[in-house]
Amino acid sequence: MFEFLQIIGDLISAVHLTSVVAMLIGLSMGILIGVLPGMGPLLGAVLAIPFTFYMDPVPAIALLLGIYQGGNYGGAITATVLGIPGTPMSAATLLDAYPMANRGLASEAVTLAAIASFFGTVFSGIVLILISKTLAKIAIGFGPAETMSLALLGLTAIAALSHGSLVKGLIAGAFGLSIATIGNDPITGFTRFNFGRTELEGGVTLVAMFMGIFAVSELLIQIEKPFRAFQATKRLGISFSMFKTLGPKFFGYLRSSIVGVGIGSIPVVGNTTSSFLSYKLAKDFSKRPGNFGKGEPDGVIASEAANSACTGGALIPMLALGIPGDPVVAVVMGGLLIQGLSPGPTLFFTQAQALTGIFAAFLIGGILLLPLGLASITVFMRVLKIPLSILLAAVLALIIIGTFLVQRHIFDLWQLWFFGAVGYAMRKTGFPLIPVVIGFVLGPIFEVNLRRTTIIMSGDFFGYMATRPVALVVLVLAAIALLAPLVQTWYLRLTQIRAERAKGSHQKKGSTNLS
Amino acid sequence: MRIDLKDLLPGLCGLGFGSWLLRETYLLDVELAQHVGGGMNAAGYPRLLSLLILGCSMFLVCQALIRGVRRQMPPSDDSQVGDTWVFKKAGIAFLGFMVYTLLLNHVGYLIITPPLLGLITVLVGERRKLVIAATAILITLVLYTVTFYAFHIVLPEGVLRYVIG
Repeated sequence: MFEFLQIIGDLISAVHLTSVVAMLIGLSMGILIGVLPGMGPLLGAVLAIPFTFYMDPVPAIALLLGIYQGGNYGGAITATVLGIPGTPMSAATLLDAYPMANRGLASEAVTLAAIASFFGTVFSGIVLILISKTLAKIAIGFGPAETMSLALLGLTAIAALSHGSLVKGLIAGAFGLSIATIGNDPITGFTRFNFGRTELEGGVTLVAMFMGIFAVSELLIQIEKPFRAFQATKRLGISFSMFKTLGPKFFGYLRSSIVGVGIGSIPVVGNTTSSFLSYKLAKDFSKRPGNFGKGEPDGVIASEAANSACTGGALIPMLALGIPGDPVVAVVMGGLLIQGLSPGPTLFFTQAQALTGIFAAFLIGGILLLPLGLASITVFMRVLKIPLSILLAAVLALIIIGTFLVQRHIFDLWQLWFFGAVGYAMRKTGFPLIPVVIGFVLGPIFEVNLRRTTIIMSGDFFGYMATRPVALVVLVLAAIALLAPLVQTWYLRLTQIRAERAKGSHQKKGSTNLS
Repeated sequence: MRIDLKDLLPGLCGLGFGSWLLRETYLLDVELAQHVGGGMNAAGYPRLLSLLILGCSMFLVCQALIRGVRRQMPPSDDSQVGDTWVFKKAGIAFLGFMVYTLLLNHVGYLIITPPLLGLITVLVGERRKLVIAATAILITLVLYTVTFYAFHIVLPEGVLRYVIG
């Protein structure tokens, strides 16, 4: 009890006006970019990251977290009004929010989404504060072998993100890891692969890489699409009667939030999975399962509470173990690195004050999301009326300025276009982009600890690993995580072939009987 | 025989990149790194990565050649491209980025940015000249002002340096 009160006291004392302002800006930006179909919190965080260079650590991370939280909610507005998911994680929200809107309950659906987002975010924030420090206390005793294994486990998330082709995902991940080797060797300081450019001695510029891979490639893809405009015809407002659902549907909010935190804390499984899983659970537990998909408020609660709770869940492995739990969190991790804060267990002991500030900002963000999200619905809906050409021009200008501001080198712009071209080519040939970023972020941690492990074990891998059971277990988990999608694909194919054969033999039997 | 270029081309690119990386690891002067307690040296780790890339790329190329027919690709909005004009649009935009970067320092941010933004708005499909010009100029000016007053950073002045003095 005393410890809990101490945590509350620490959180209150860590609140600063600059963090609250940064969080408000982040939430507004997040909702804005979440409302725009095809864009999402990932692009928002990438666009904002250069500006964090000029901020103190806590407001900088608060800005990024605000975009993350706001972006998740913004997608629900588009799902309700236009019937298209503003972000991938709001796809499950759409199933019931859009039918609700078609029945004239658009305001109710959006208000419910805001309440669920608020509940999920605040709940995940509390879990984040309570669990991450305990996890960090365990992880602080980890040596290079354990850290290397954990980084490898994070890298196997590549398998989960390689939709369609594991091989392409592995190439993308290895490309990201290779890019991370450019510059000074982390152990000896020896310069590698810098092409004779002094600008590359410190490595590839993180912002140019993120902006190029995601933002420039997205811009080029958007340019290719036919000219389009969105027509939002539904009127939106606040439905205060929806606040009454907090009592009778409390367990629905809680269950969805628990699912969100749980799924979110598994590296890179992501909030889209959590919202669909939570939606299915809500349907299974419901007394009216037939209403799901036809405008059932419980469906909106399940999806929105879960995908918002993912935000806190995904931060747990990143802060406590240094493994990003989600692509947006990988960008937030980049933001921490820019601020000189190295994610992982040591962060809890060396930068405890900054971390408490980040926790406080996260909770404040969750709380502010409700009034801001509801009060500004009509304002954000107007964004949909802005022509796409103007929005893309503004995004391009932000990309250029953002990249240039970091070091004020024209060379960074060349890096930006290079990674933009790589990202564009990857999208066109069906390569996933996230593994490149995961590889780039986790690469240095993985390399340093892998090489330290090889030094310590002096050639006796099995003998050394026998003394490190935690590392061994994590390595086995990593192997399972990597092989699971392959086994699943083979199993599905085998079942399909068997079914086809069985169908064929039935048809043969039928034809012989007829003859 | 129809070969899946979506696998073959990136596979070949991967083979090229992997081979280059492997060659670079051998060219690296690793004398400095070799004596770190007998562990993996500065070239060893990238060499592992190059082998992984080579292996996966080889698999991709073989897969494309052996199948010899167009693979069932997962539906992706990004890869659904009907005509060559869309590729040209991306190409023109990219060319614009190159020219912009080459001229930025010499011509200056305030002069070179509006044409680039105008080009993008035209490529997206905007045809109203006033909207194109106003968008390009306003965005440029707003961002210049923000960086100047909020971050105290002067963006490349280019020829304006001589005009204003």
